Amino acid sequence: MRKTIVIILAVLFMIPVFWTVTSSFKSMSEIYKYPPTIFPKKISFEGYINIFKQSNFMRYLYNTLFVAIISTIITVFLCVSLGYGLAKGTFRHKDFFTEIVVITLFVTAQIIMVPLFVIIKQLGLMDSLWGLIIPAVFTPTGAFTAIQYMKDLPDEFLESAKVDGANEWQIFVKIVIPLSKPLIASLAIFSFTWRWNDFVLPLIVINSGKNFTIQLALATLQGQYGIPLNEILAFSVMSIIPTLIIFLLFQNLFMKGLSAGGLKY
Amino acid sequence: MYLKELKIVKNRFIFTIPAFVFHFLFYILPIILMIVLSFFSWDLLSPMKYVGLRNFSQLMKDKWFWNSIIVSFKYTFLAVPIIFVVSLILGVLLQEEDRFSKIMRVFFYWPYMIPMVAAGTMWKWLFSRNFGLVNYIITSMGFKPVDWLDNPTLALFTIVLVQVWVLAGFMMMLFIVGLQAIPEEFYEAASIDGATKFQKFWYITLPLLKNTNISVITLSIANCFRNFTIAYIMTTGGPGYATTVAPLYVYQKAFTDFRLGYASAGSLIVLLISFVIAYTVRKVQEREIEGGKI
Amino acid sequence: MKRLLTFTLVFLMIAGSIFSVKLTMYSSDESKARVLRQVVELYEKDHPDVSIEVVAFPYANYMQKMSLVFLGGNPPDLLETTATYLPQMTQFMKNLGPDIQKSLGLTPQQYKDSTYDVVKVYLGEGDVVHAIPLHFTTYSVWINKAMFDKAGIKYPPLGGREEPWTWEEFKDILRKVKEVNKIPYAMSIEYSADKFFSYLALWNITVLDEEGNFVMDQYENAEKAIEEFVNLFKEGLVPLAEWLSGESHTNNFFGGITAVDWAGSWMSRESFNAGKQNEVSPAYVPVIEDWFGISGGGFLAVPKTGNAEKEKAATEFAMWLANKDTGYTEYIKRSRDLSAYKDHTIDYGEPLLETWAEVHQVLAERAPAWSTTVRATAVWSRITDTIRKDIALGITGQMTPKQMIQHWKSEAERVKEEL
Repeated sequence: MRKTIVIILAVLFMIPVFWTVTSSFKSMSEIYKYPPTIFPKKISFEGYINIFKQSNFMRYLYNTLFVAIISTIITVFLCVSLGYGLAKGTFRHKDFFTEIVVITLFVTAQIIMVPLFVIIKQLGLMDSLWGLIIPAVFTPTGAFTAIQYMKDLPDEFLESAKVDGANEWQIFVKIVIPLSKPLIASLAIFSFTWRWNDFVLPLIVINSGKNFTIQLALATLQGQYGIPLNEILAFSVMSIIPTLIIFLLFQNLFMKGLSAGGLKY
Repeated sequence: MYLKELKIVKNRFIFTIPAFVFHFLFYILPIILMIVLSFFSWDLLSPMKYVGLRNFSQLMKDKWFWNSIIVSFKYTFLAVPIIFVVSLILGVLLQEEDRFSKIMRVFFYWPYMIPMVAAGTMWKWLFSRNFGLVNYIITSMGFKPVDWLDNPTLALFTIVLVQVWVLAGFMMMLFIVGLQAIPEEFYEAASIDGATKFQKFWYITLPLLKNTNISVITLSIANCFRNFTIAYIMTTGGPGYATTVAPLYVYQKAFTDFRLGYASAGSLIVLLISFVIAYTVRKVQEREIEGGKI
Repeated sequence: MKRLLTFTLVFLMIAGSIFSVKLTMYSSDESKARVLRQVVELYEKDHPDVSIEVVAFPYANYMQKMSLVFLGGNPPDLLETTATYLPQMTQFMKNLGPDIQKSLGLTPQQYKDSTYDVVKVYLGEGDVVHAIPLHFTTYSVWINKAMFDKAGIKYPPLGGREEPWTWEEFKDILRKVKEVNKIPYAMSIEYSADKFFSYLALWNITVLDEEGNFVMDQYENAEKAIEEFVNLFKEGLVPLAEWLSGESHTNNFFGGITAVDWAGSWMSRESFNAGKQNEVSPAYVPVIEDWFGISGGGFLAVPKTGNAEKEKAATEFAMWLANKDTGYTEYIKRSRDLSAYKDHTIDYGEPLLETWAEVHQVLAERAPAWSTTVRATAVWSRITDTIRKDIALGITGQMTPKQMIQHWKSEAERVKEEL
């Protein structure tokens, strides 16, 4: 019963994806064909070949991986630590600080582009991969997720550790972090996806071809007169693979039924 | 004095400092600059001109700006409940750490992994009035083609559908994390009492998910009020202004018409409105939790 | 001996890296960038001391990106841009006038006169040459040959007819071709204000004058012209979806949903890319008050970077590309576009392209200069979005032509005042 429902839903979700993958193997003239064909009549690697021939795909891949991995590591640390501080802290104006984080959830990156550009420029981060990492390591969505998660951690765990003589650092490292494994796993997956699919920062920061990311290169294909749809589809099929790997890797960090019993400090 | 004796360590404020440094530099500071900009007229290339409150007074009279806020409201209140229900169902069904769940989660998170540009292009193609696959299937079954993106009301629904498709997998992950954090003991106790599956879900799971629920709802509202890529790619805000959500309107003012000051003023208003909505929703929920503590 | 060889090699490498100049060129479109990369390669072969990297940015965000680049004081050494964006950026460009005199032996005026009038407008005033032309585009009407043959319709000038159709004839043809071929619509028109302008110009109506003042309300026919345009949609001749949700006109036309595409010379390249070159043909636009194709195109400019050595190398490349005997012909052959210079026939190595180019040349030569100057004003690019949105509202019956004209007037006046 459960499996049937899940499979039906999964099929519905995957229809466009399936269509993307099959269409990426069509030639341009077949893509223009109406009525549309579901499977390519003749498998064409035109889109894939063009990507490798016309663009420096491996370089973009390296750049994007570098940015996504480094910023994910920093993001996870920042969010977990902030979430803990804001959820379990005892300082004054805690609610005010939380709201300051929440309001930035509603900021559209494309809209603050110009002020952001000015700041990044002042920090000397233009046209470098660090310019894609440093401005993005803090993410309101990640922070908010962490705050909400930490609120659910039972206070008793922290109190009993304190009674046993642990200081604040020990509590954070030995109690909070192990209890946050599902949070860390999901933040890592999210953060990697965000950085991988980021378009706004690369657009304003990157000036030279050697620093291009996959998303910037993909958007560049949308031209003035037409779009090579097969190339765009091929590009997006390939660009999804690294995120998929990260997802599968980090999934194993989830744990069913965390309990205090198994924890040592 | 030892580091661990410091007050900011004791009250755990120190844990927030690293994040707040970045938060200030790349979120708060740009907002402050945006507030400053909203008092100027600027097209990026010529010198800035101070215009006082003119941008705001023009905005008050701009009927399409207010229309875009209404569109955003409709969009958000249509999308958020659907996203919530779909992702909760997915979360509950896939919370176990068995092989089946692990594999199936990938498929639901997949839409979130696809670059928005590519996903939007794909959907636009599928739902295209005249050469889309969906209408082709409908017409070959003998029905009339549907104006998925060309009927002002239906276009909004279509875009909501794509939004649900994109976000459900992401929210599902939040639910899985939340569900897994519920200690087994709670369920064991209920089983002894002879509770049915549904009773367990209603009386134990849902209340214990309180903070996850708040997360999902707040983040969904924020996402719907912040993102415009789907509408931008699928309809360019059309027909007319029917799917021009507030951030899209502001974006077009900024970078199609190059009215940076006007756009800044507009986005400040959008920011405040969306924050107030989310704040209200969150506080209502938090109060409910406090009132109905289990 | 071996040591000497190594030494020489190392010396050459060092010398090479010291003396070679690395330039960056920005392009507004990946497909144009691919053509530019090919000619850059040719240039580098003859000039081993120069290397040029062509970087493309997304077309939709190009003006945004360039504005930030100039704002940050970090312009590229060379910049390719389209007619739409060039007028706003000229203040940052080097005057190439003196260099043209030196390297081409033409006075700036003579040089500009060698291009089509509608190209000349963009190049700069007086002795100033802000940019050199790259490709040149003009509007025409593309038709599906098989569908026209089936309906027995002759088309000018390649399909057995000399004179352009009249507007009434044209509408009848659209109806007929739709009926005979049993297709849902007759004609595609991309969702863009320039497409609308290309139609409006045939009524001899302009939205703005050459100073950017709103003048459309002074034409008697203005409301009628808008109404006729909107009626094309209402009558089911043009797919509503193209203007309501931005459905792709190329997909509709190449997919055989429409028989006509009101587009332009760039469709030559697109039809080859789509493998449809034998199924389509350009035709003259219909005559309303007049008939011609408004123009657009690409330009190359040398931004002021403050680095004398690089500016010099960049200028040299620009001069090479401004010269029909060196770079220009090579470029235009590969881009499959029209030449911006008068009396410049290109051997594309593809007879079809040559025939098509002749059709477009006729349309371009007939175009009055105002059809370009008006769109080169800073006001035009800032009201285009309003114009196309209002027309979409008109199509769904939410706005009358009169209201549109009033709205555009107030927008144009506001923009003018803010500038």
